[in-house]
Amino acid sequence: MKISSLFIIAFKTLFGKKLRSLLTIGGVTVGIGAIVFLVSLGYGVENLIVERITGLDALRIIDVSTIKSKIVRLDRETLERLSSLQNVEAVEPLISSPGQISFGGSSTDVVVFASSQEYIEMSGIKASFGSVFDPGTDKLIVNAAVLRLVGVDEANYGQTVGQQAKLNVIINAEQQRSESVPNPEAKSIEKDLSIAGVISDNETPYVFVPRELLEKEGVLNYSQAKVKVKNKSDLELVRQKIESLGLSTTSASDTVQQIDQIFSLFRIILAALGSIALVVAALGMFNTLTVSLLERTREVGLMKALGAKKRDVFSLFLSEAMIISCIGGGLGVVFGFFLGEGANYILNYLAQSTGNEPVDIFHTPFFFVLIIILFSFVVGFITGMYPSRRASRLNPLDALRYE
Amino acid sequence: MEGRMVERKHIIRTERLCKEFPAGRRQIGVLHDIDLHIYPREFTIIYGPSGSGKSTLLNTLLGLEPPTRGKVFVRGRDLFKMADDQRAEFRNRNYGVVYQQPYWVKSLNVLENVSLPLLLRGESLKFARGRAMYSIEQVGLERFAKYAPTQLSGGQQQKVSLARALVTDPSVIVADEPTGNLDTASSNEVIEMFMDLIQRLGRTVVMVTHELRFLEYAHRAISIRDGKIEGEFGKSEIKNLVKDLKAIGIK
Repeated sequence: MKISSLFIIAFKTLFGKKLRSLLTIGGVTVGIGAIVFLVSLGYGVENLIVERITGLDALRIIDVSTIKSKIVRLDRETLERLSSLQNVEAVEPLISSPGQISFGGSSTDVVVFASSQEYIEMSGIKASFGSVFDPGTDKLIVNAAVLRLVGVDEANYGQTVGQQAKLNVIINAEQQRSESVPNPEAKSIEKDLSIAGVISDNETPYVFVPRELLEKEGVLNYSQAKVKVKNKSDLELVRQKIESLGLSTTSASDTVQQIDQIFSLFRIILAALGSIALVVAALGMFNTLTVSLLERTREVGLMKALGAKKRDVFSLFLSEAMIISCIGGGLGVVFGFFLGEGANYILNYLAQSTGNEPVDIFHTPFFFVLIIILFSFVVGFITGMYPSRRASRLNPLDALRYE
Repeated sequence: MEGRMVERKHIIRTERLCKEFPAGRRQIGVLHDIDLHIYPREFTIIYGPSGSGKSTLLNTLLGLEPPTRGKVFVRGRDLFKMADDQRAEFRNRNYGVVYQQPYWVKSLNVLENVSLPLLLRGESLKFARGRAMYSIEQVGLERFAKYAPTQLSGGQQQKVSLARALVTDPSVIVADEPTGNLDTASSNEVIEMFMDLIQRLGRTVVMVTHELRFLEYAHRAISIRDGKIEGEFGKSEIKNLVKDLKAIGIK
């Protein structure tokens, strides 16, 4: 029998029992919809967390620092070597030193970071007041913890931008050591700088100053560096190369990988919960097909008497199962997707009306849609197998005599 | 006369056909050593009382009921040497069947039911519909093509069955008590249509019946009783038989 004829007969049969077919398709829709909805929640929450922990750029950045042995120094020469590695886009070093800041009559101990503007951007740091300094200028940015400790009222943080502060930085011997100067002495320098911006971070007090400021004072060895690779996929390879130079590395991608592992487990649990609904739907479908077979035993007998082969009868019943599961699966995907989008919409509406940032906690990736449609195909096939086989093996005479 | 017919080439032949059915531990014989010949372009009636085994014989000729012993040859091919699917295809190509009860695929309308044998053969929908419509016109029911078969009267349903049997242009039409469920008027109408088509189209027809009044239409009649062939009559013998039957008041 031609496939087109097969499908027309199958459709007419299903259409002939409208309510039953609709209920069965509805069952599959709910089952697949539940899986899509729950797994989308898993994907959505994971995306949300990954985005929060790391900006997308963070996945392209490797943090490089020296190992305690200090055989390899993070000096200009090493930075050159890092820059020349394949697939490296940028290398930005950081100097960190202890220091003290005086502002408005009081002073506090701070960590002084000297870096380029690019380094600050790579770190995902943004000024909540003012802006990040331009390179080579006598400016600094402070964090909220610094202002709190020097007694600035939180409401006045914005007004500190443009004001002068006095900064003391201690440069130790290690930072100045080189082959030409094997035993330098530690020293303290003092600078008058104006505040370019304020960072909202309120944990430990620190300031950022332009890197050139300390380089002019003889700092040759950097504390650490950030290496940005061209593509996320290059990250591991570049990391291995950097480590082979005798440096130590960390990357946000480590955290992301851990999150991914945790969430793939989370998604499996959610999918399993959704599958309960699908199992019930599959049983309903199985029941429908079996009852339909019993009702149509004589029709099967007739078709065989008229010359239907086993394969024809098998295909007819299987195509009915496939039609149910595919329509149900398709509708289920749409149903689950719009349920998630609806929830997103409501949550975003609530978030915006309470002044929070909008968030999407349901996310349905396209490949997952493909997988779930394939899955409903498989469910239809497995569920339809048994009744179809039974139908195809009926003896035509017995079937015709069936009451 | 009988001798002349035997020399002709048969279309269906059985060879010492036996059929036994299990009944508890015993086997009950339903057909005993049946040697039957059906000739092309003839209307053969197989008649006998209920339980004589005539329906079993018919189902065996159709390849639906495998015999316990013996062979069935249709157009020279041993029916039960074929695999099930092969036999199904052979049945589709060579037989058109009208049953006592009308059997339908209930979700399909008259036209689609009549198309079914052609669709099962793998013909395109368009071709099958065209042929089915022509076949329905032959039985004069084109008005009801889009009806559900069960909406029609018993007589009309049997005519649609006939249209379905004719749609594949089969070499043999087999009818198992086609008027068994009909009142006299409808059954006469159906039989007349049968006869008309047979004569016009020149088909081989095998009909099983216990209604002796149809005998006069037949070219040959085979009487069966207790699973054995009791007698085989040609046209002239049938005439005498019918006269005798009428004389004793059987219609």
